[in-house]
Amino acid sequence: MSTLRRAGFTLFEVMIALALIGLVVTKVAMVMEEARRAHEQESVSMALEDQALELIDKIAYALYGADAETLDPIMAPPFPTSKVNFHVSLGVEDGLPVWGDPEVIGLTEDGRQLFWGQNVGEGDERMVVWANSVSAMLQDELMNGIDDNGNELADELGLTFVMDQRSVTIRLTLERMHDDGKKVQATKETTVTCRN
Amino acid sequence: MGPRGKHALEGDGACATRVNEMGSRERCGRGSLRGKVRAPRARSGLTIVEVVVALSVMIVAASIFCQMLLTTSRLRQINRENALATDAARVQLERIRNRPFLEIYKSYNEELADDPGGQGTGPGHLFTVDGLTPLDDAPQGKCGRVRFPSSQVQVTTTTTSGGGGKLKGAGGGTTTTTTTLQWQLREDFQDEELGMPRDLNGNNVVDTANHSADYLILPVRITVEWKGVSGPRRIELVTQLGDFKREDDG
Repeated sequence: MSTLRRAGFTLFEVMIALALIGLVVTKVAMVMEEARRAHEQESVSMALEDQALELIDKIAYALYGADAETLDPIMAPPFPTSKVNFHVSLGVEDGLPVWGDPEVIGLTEDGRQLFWGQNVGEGDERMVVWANSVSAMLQDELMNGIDDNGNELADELGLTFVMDQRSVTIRLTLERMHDDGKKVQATKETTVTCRN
Repeated sequence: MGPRGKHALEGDGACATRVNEMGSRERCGRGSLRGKVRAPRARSGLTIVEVVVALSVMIVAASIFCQMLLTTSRLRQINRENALATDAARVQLERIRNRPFLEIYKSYNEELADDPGGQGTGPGHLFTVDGLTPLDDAPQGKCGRVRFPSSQVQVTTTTTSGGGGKLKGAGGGTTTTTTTLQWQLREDFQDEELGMPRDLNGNNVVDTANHSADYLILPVRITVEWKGVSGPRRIELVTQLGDFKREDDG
């Protein structure tokens, strides 16, 4: 007498299989989400780093050609400045250097925009905003009257210039808010010596 | 499910034939199971060889993927290190430029005694680089080094003291000969990358004198050596500094 055999899975098997598949899929989804978020943060961070590097190079190249004696104000540690006025040499004529119009690089009054200006306050004034994501304070610095980040400066803003004879040390921190509310910062520092 | 594994038995008693899965008949030999036990139920699934091969392929694929991730991460780290080292070398060069031209050699050479502000007051020939790990044998545990076309030479100094009162060479005095090692900026220094040997003080002669106080051109080599993620690493920046204002100033 033959018995009828039913091919297939029992309910119990199906339940176990579904539970296992659910666990695996959940775990994979969590890992994927984590990876996606990390990748996004990394991308934002890298983009900010690139922007900071580009900006600090731009400032450095502007100051290379400046006359060290026209730098204003002259600020030595621990007193930084967030704005610098200067004149760039355009060349030599009849044995005498020819100086360009007065230029300025600094932060706007709200402290969040980095700008370059020429003939500021005059009729032919030119101003260009180079960045609008400057951090209120330099990385790891707080407005508390002391040096929090160990760079021998106190309460420095997101862009600072420190002068030492003919050289200028530039520090810049950019920041951006990530989608999940996290703050991403990028800080760059360089030193240039005025060639004129 | 297809016919695979299903075997039908048929025959005329003495010799049975079996229909295999391809539909052809094959003769049963001795030990035919007909009439003794039921044909064993074929097991569907994978053999151990198949499992091992599949696992091996998966492991190889996973290890290649992991290797790729590691390589990418390492490359990123290497790029970061290179950027740090290059930037540090460039900033060091800017600091050097910031000094009065004729003080550069004395401030940044190996000799402590000739520092312009007094012995040991200069920045010296070594510098640290934040973010890089110095090599185990790095001098003073610093990654960066500034080099000029200078050599350490023996200098013999003869001094006479005592005897003879105010009259020099009147006899009776004590003559002392001192031999010391001194770092000297030399035009006869051999280094092709620095463009040496060459005239440094503008007199059109390559001599063997010490030019640490009268150079017009100063070749500089800045080296950064560090322990990187892929082993010891090194970058070099070679340039020549010139004092183009001296003639006007003079």
